[in-house]
Amino acid sequence: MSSPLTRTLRDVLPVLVLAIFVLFGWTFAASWWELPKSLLPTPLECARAAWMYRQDLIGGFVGTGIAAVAGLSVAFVAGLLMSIVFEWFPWLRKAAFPYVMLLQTVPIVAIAPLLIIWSGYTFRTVALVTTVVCLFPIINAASAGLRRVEPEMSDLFDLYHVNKWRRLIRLQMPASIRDLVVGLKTAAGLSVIGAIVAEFFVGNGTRYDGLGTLMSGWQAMAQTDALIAAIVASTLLGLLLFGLINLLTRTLLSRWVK
Amino acid sequence: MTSSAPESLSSVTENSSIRLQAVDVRIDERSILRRISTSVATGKITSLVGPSGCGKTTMLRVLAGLQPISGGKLSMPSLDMTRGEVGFVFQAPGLLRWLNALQNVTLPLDLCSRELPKSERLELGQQRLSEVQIADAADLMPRQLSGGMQMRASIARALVTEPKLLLLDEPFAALDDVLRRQLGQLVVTLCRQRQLTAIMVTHGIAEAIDLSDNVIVMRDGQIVDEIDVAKEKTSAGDAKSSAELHERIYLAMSGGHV
Repeated sequence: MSSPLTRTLRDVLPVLVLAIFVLFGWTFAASWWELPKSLLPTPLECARAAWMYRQDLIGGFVGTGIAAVAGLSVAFVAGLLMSIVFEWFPWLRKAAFPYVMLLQTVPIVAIAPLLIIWSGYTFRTVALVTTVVCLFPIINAASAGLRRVEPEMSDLFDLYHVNKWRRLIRLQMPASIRDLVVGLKTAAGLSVIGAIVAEFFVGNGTRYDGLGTLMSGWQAMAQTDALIAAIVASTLLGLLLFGLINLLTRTLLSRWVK
Repeated sequence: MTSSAPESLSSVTENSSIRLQAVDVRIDERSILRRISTSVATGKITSLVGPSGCGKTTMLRVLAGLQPISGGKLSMPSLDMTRGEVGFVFQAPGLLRWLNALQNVTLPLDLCSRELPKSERLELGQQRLSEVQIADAADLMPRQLSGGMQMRASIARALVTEPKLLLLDEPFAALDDVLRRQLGQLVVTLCRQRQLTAIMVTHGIAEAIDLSDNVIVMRDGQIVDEIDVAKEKTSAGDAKSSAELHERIYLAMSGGHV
């Protein structure tokens, strides 16, 4: 039997070794072929740029984070409510669900300009685009969850003639928590993508600064080292959101999710 | 085989309160029950036996009000479903996985329209758990209970509202022989203590003879035989009459094929 520390090391070590290998290969490639800094800066140069622009990056990280969380929250509430309405009115579900599917198929880059026309170059637009991106996984998961009630449980509630409100609160909502958590995790990853893509369109020339606006600015000035630092920051933001949702579900919803 | 039915029926109909007259049930244009006419004696345990797909469970669901009838008449005087006067033990325990054993047992008290203080509900639930011999498992979650314990909790849940009619749909089907026998005897004891009317669907002929006062044999959506077990047993030696009854039920179920 190995100790927990040994087991953790055994899990983490291959990941670390691969990371060191990639960073070394990257540094080697950039200096061997003498590539210009604007095309491929070394990891060290990226780290230096990250330090130099730390205040911008932190501001962008927070700005994009707030937009992602705002969009995700609105999508969660709206998606859940829509799923409940679909569950209670099957004819409405039949009529509207094909259009909900369109949310999944319409490219985000296509709707962002339209939403800017309607909502302006504002934080609200970024959150709105994020909401549109996150809505489908939430509705999909919530709809599946509300219907994932074992027949015996459903019969038990029928036996006592329980009304649909109490059935929703006492049976369907708790039964759907697992699906909702899965949907929320999927949407969390998409929310950062949605926010950054929206910021590409919204950002320049406004007071609002997110990682997407920083990226498009640095891309225009060919500051590749800072651009890569922003990409790393957006990845960290996605991981942070995913981790927070994991933590939230583990602590608050352990009874349902296990 | 049906020749003996009218004779048995007369004894079963004494003191009866649940009456089915030419009841038909069709599901998706398929005839599941065909002109079922019978009565169920109060305070007695009645078994429904028959081959798979013969309509036993559908008949139980009709009595529980979970399956509407397509024709005929069902009279069930003085039973208020909304006040939990009918208890149902399903084939699967159907415990809500986010509630502990005690909360699962008291759930019907919350669902049906009874105004009981929480302390009283918990006391009632604890009493039922003691009766099914799992008092120590009150705080355990369903996933921490064995199959037998889950079924005991399910029986306790069905009894917590002090129903007048208890319906059991092959409750022991997934259990081993020892547990089957123990739980069967437990259900009989609990029903006798309360002078409860119980109707139990089972595949097992021996189980039906051992546990019930009356046996209704079904085949192809119809009743093909009705037997007053207690009367048949007293008229001959117990062992001999059991063997004869077993043979009679088997032939009725199989349509006379050995």
